[in-house]
Amino acid sequence: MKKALLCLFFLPILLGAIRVDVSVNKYVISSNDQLTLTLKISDSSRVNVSEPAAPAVNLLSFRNMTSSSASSVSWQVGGRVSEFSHTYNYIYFPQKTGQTTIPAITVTVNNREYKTRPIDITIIAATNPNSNQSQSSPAFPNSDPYGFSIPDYWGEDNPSQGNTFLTALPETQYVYSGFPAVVSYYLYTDEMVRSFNLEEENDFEGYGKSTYEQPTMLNYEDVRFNGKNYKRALIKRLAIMPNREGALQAPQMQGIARLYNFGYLNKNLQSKGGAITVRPLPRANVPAGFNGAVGNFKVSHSISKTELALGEALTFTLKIQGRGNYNRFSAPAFASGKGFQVSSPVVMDNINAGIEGTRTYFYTLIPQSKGQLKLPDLPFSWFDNDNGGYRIYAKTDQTIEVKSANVLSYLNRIWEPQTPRAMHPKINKAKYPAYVAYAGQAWYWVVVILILAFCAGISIRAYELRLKRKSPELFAKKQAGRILQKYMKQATSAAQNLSPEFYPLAEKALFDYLTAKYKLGNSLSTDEKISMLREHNIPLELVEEMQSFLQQCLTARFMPEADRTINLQEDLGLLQNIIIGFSRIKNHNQGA
Amino acid sequence: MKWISCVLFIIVAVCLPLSATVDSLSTSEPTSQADINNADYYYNKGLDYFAAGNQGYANLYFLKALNLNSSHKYARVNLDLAVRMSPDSKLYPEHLFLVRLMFQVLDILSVNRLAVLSLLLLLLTALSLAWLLFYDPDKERALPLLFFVLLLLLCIGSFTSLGIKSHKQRHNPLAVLIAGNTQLLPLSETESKPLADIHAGLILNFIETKGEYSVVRLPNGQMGRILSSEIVKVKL
Repeated sequence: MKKALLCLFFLPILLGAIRVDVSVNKYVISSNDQLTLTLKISDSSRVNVSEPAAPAVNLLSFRNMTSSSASSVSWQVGGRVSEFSHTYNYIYFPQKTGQTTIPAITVTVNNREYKTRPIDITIIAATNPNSNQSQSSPAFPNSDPYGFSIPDYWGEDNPSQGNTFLTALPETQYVYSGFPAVVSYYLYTDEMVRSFNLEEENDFEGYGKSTYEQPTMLNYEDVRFNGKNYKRALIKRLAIMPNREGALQAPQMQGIARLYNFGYLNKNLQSKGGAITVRPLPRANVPAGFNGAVGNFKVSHSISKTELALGEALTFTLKIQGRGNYNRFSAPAFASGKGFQVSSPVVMDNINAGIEGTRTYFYTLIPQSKGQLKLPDLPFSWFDNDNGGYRIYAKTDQTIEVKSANVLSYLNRIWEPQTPRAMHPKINKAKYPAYVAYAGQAWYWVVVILILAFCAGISIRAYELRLKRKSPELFAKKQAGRILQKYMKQATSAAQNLSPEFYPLAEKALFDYLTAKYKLGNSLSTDEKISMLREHNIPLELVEEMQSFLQQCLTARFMPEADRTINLQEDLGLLQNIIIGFSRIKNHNQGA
Repeated sequence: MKWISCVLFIIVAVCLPLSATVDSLSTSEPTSQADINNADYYYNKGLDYFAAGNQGYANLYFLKALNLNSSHKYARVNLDLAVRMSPDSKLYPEHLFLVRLMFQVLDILSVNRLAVLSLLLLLLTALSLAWLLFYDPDKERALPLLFFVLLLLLCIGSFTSLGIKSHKQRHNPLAVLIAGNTQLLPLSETESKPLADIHAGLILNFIETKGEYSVVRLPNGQMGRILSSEIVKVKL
């Protein structure tokens, strides 16, 4: 019971321990079959494994080895369980029939050695010998790149006395200062080098560098070197940018070549060679505007249009192609020409390793005046490494026709969404006034309200006119009501309050109204006013009615106060009728 | 006299609350001391950032310029170019010609232009109303009526657009990714597999803030979250 509990207690530790398993796909194989020996190392944490060498097995020929690593995370009752594993598959082909044993394999994991169990294998004769190994598919696409035969024996000393070395070959021995030199690192061999691991690059003074080319596999070619036949494969190609003159030493490569010779053998290699001489640029005949460009360049230019409207922009494209020190010179600038505003250029590079390819500068030019404008000069000069002399790019004189601006030029972005291909230039201003949103300003809404008030006013006026036209009776009543409101307010109020002041107020109000309407003079007597009214074609009945009312007012003035109030309501009604009568009459002064 | 006093009263009644609104807006949105709220200034600043290789801030300032003045042609062209040259250019949708045309027309009508246009249309509507109301009643009124209805519709549309654009100007939801290369994370916090690799200068639609993350929408419509410190909103 105690042992069982102890086992349970240590179970997680046992489960978490490093496991080294070995297995084969078959224990009995036929002579035309292949045997796969699988070695798996797993642990709950990442393991550091030294790649175990393929064991030499009697009667079996080692052909190939593949490896893989994996990690997985799963959730179990106890929590999260991780597993990290490395798997090595060794492929063997049978050589003869019989019994053999795969020996124990020693594996070093996390600096500790583990040993696997030996495995017995039986090889039997093939039932169909013609199909020998035809189904095998080696892991390497071309497992035998040299056409060498695979040795069919083990246990002897290395019979090969081959030569494998790494050499640095500059493309040219001499370059001018600033021109990039390309140095190729080749692996030369007359042995079976399966792979090469580049371990280190030792740099020297006097240059900058970038990787120009780095193949991912060994592509061999046949060459003859120092009177011997070799296979060579490119390991790396570097672009060296000298930054001083004189002798330079290209970087030294170090790596390990994996040779196959009845098993794998590692060989440390170090590159040799790679001396370059950097010549100074000639000091004579240096062109104006030379800004350090050195290379074998082809320079061309193009412009997007030769005719445009004022306000439109044109794109000037300068293209520089070839090999050179692209990282060492800046964009050429347009000479300060008249008539154009020029942007700082947009640069688009399609350059390998910073030394070879195409660089394109896009300039935006905006004409500032109408007419025939000549494009300003764009001075660009460089030192040609091949010719050993300076060269100047001469842009042909180009004239641009600038027409007057039109509305359509504003919509250019719709027709040509991909143009221009350069940034527009800065807008130079002495002052930048702060942005003001008109809709947030008080004056804006005052104007809006005034316009709306105007709309309301004309609507009311139009309504009145329509009413006057369609229903004159109703209009007259409304007019009279307004007049009464305006002129008879006090008189009406007095009548309602039965005040004796009604009559003088009513008389005054009536004459105020008539004076305003017929422009009667205030200095005239009542009779004169009445006679003037008669001249205005006022109906006689109305005039008589008015005279009667005025007489009533005069009489009331001399009546006792108590008697004055007896007929107040009647007289108010009479006054209103008089006003309505007058309001129906068109005023001569107002026209028809 | 009464009319004058009425007009004065209306002016005072309108001006007081409006000026109060303007003051409160300016105090609630303090701008950086270094920045001037001017479209040309922002445009030039965007160019400076672009020249310095800072794509994120370059796009931000071009957008700020366009926020103030959507008809700023140079800022629009430069932003388009910067977007086309960016590694995320494929995330931006390609619009059809007519859609592009519509956007272009809307861009031409900046907030201030729209305000002036609205005022002009209102005035024309008022005049057409006067024409219609005082038109000879014995004549056919179709022409003034047509003018009035058309102008009224245009006026209403213009004021509506002005309201929408002004609101968008004050509450611009756009933001720009300023961090170099980053990843758009899924909305669910339990998932950690990134949705996309995005780069500085990408224009995003800001949705909301969730803790230290911001929920954003990419130009292609994909939604996700991103660290708030990695983006800057156009309208702070």
